[in-house]
Amino acid sequence: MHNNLVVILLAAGALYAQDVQTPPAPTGSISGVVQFEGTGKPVEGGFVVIDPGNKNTKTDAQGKYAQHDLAPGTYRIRVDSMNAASVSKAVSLLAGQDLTVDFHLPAPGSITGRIVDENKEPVPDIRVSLVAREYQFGELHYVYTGVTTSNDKGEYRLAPVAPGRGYLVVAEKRAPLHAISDAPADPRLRKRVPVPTYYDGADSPEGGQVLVLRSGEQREGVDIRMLRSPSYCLEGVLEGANGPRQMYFAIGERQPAFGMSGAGGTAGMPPGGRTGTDGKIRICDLHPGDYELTAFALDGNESVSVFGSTSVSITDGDVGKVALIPAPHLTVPGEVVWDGKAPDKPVQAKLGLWLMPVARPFFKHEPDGLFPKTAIPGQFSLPNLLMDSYNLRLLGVPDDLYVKDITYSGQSILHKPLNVGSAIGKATLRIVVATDGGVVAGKVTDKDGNPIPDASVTVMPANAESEAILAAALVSEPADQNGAWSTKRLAPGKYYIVASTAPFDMTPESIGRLWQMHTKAQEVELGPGATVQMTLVPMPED
Amino acid sequence: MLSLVALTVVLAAALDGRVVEDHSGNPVVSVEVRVLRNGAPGVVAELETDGDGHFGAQDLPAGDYRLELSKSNYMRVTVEAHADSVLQIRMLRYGVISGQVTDEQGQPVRDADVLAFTKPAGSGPLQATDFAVRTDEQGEYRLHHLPPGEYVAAASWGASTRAVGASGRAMTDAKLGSGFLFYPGNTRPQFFTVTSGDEHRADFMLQPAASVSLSGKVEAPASGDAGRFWIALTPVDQPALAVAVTQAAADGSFHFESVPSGSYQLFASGPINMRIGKGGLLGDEPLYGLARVDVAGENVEGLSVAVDKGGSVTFLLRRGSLCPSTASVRLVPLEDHGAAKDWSAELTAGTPRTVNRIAPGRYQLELKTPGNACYLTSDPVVAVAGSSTVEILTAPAGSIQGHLTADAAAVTLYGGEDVRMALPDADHKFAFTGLRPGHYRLVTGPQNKIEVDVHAGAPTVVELANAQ
Repeated sequence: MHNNLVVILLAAGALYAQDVQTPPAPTGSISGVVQFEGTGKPVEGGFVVIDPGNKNTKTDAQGKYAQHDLAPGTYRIRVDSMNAASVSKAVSLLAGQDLTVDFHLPAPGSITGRIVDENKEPVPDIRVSLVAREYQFGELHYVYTGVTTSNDKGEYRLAPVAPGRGYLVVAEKRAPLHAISDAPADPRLRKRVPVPTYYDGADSPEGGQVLVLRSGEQREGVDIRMLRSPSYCLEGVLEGANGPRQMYFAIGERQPAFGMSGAGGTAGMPPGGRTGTDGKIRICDLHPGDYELTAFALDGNESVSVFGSTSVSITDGDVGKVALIPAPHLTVPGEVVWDGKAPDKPVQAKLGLWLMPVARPFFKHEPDGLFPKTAIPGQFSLPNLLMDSYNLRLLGVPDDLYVKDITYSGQSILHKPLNVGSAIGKATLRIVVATDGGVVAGKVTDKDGNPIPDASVTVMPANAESEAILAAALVSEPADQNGAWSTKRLAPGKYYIVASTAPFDMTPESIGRLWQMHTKAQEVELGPGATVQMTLVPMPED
Repeated sequence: MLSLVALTVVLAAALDGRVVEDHSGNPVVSVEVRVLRNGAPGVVAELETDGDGHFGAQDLPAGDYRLELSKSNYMRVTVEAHADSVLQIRMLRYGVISGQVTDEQGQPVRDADVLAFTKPAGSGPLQATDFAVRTDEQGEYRLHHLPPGEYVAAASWGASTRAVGASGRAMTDAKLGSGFLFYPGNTRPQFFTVTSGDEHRADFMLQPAASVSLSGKVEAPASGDAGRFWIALTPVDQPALAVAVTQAAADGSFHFESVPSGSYQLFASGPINMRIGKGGLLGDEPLYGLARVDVAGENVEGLSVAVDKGGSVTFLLRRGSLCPSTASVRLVPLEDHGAAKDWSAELTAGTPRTVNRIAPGRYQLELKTPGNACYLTSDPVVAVAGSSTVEILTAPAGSIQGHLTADAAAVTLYGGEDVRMALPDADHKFAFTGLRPGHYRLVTGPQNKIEVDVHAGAPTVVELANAQ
């Protein structure tokens, strides 16, 4: 499933490759070697993606990559490897130049430990997961990024673990779920159930200890003593338009969830099953917590015909009479409109939309229609939406424009997921683009004015009211090999700008540090259509 | 039929028990005990053993109960009991085969597959089990869910069926080539007799790849399908595992590198629709080719493999008296074809049913009857080539009727998928019914064990002396 996700990501990018005009010769090339930091071992099978153009190659057994026939210009090169965090660099390529760009990726590490019960006895067959914490679309997400199972001695090993970023480790018992459980009616006669337990002994991700590995570190002794709680049941009925019917269901805690993060991800559905024709559920062995109950039915084509979900909180007793009526597909109309007056010259480029379910993989045939392209201005339609949450990305925004706002049913979702069910009545997705954006550009140098290559520049809107919003709204630009950098068009307004030797990721630690840097950052009041030049000196690594 | 328990009229009753490990006698803690009452829906109570292995429930309605005991690393135990029983229950721990896979230099080999095979009673061929595991970065593996029985272990590397099925390519280092190795050698695999809590070690040292190559072409009738054929190279004298699996090129040509000397069956199967962990999954209209190849130190080139619709088997169910008139049968390959398909049929007594498009080769028949009331008594191994008719004979499940010459708390039966327990009645009689034919072990205490062969249809009568 993970591979499917990657394929979809690349395919979505490839849709827009054709938008890049092929300029005349002479072209240049970019090549280099990707190695692990420290050991110098080659990174084999790493993806090297060069933008614009979404040209991608794989590194060979020696870690080498090469991309030819590149027009002169500024490129961003990103290296993705299953074994390490993504690293990107910006470069300026001159006509006919053969540029060498090498990468040193932090070497992956591993986490090992034992799962034990209250009697300190080893617990086998426990699902142990690596959980990344990351801001995405204005929310803090806990995303499964690696998984293993404890063996008969309770031992587990999570590898590879990307160094330099914070992870949680959680131990969970995953047993098959039955639509109708035969658990005793009286909760006092039920066994106590294992609770997802976060290292070092917490029952929630918020209480978990954040582990950060050094490059190549083999962390040992990450032992988890499984907690247990009383066991509760959830009873209800799943209904179609004509009353109760047979349906698939899945139930999982809201966090952590499946999905993607900057450190990789996993795709899947929480545990579930299929009801009888009466649509009845009696799901047991649940510990207290906040759950998302999902139900759906498939048609003869294995496509989802109805889909719905609801939140269920279990505190200290059984939950009864849950009714869930999944809804059929929804067509959401959309439009791209100008903010104020349209520019004199019509825009040729097309804007691409890219929607992806927040916490589950695509169903079969579901991606059909989720990647529409639209003229600017223009109208489009999303014909295949389920009553679910989607992350929306816009691709191919022309350089002289910026996206000022995105609204759904009149509410801004610029830095938020699209909750299809949140609309009242007939809702429209509106994308507002504007031409009055400004640009900030300059150089990154040391104290003496010498350019620093491969630094990172982070531009923070001053009006971000929380760390989560800051994470969604900030713009990160790599400086090239000569220290030069430039933003795309930004909305007029006040910004804080910092340079750093390494880019900031979306983990709460990184964003928290940025949040604290407001006061030390350079401040810019960007006027409509303005270009502001500035020289930045990287912040010291505290 | 003997009744398992003496019926007693009690108004409020209790169940008490203690669980110990079979081989050590140590208490087993945190065992989940599901208490079901015969004739009543749902679970009456879910209990758990304490630090001394004890569990108990009070204030139960009178009646007959079934207890299901489970704990990771132990075989499940089912106990028939009546209220007010005091139970002594022995749990059997799964066995382990573990070790390391290295190359000739002693360097660990990661991503090799280690599989366990069983040998059926008699002189039948090795049968694959679901026990398979991949080596880690240190080349270590651990097969740790083995129910008591006899096993051989094999390491399989390179472009094996499992590797190609899982990832589409060879998993281990290319310089090792492809192959398999039974522990300690392919000519005479060692049988490990796994009993409760046993841990066996089997280290594998892989030999470097041979230098002979083998190439040829699948002559697929539809040119578009040629590239969707998988070819497996399986030794004639050990067909349980393929040496290597490859996918044909678009023109049907295929190539194996580094093939050791030996006699092989070359299985071609296609079109393959998708990869699964056990190989390529065949579509609805598969074609098969089979060729015999002898490799003796020289490259083999220009093999031409014709394909056809394979064989067919017509099943005729002849049910034993008291057996259901329906049954389902499934053909499980005894040779590694590199490809998988579900060949099965629902049978009705007296009505011939034909399964078509079966890959040529040898198969084990798996028969299921409604309620597991009856079992197969005819030859379970069939060879498929051309069309043939196979008669399926069934007989009622076996049973054990026993008598204890002295008091015993309980009789435990090992050998089925679960461990079962029965309590002797007032006349010291006990019985187990609905048993799959096979080999079982009856235990009343650490010193009291008896091996029993159960046959379909007729009860096996045993007499157990009790030392206690």
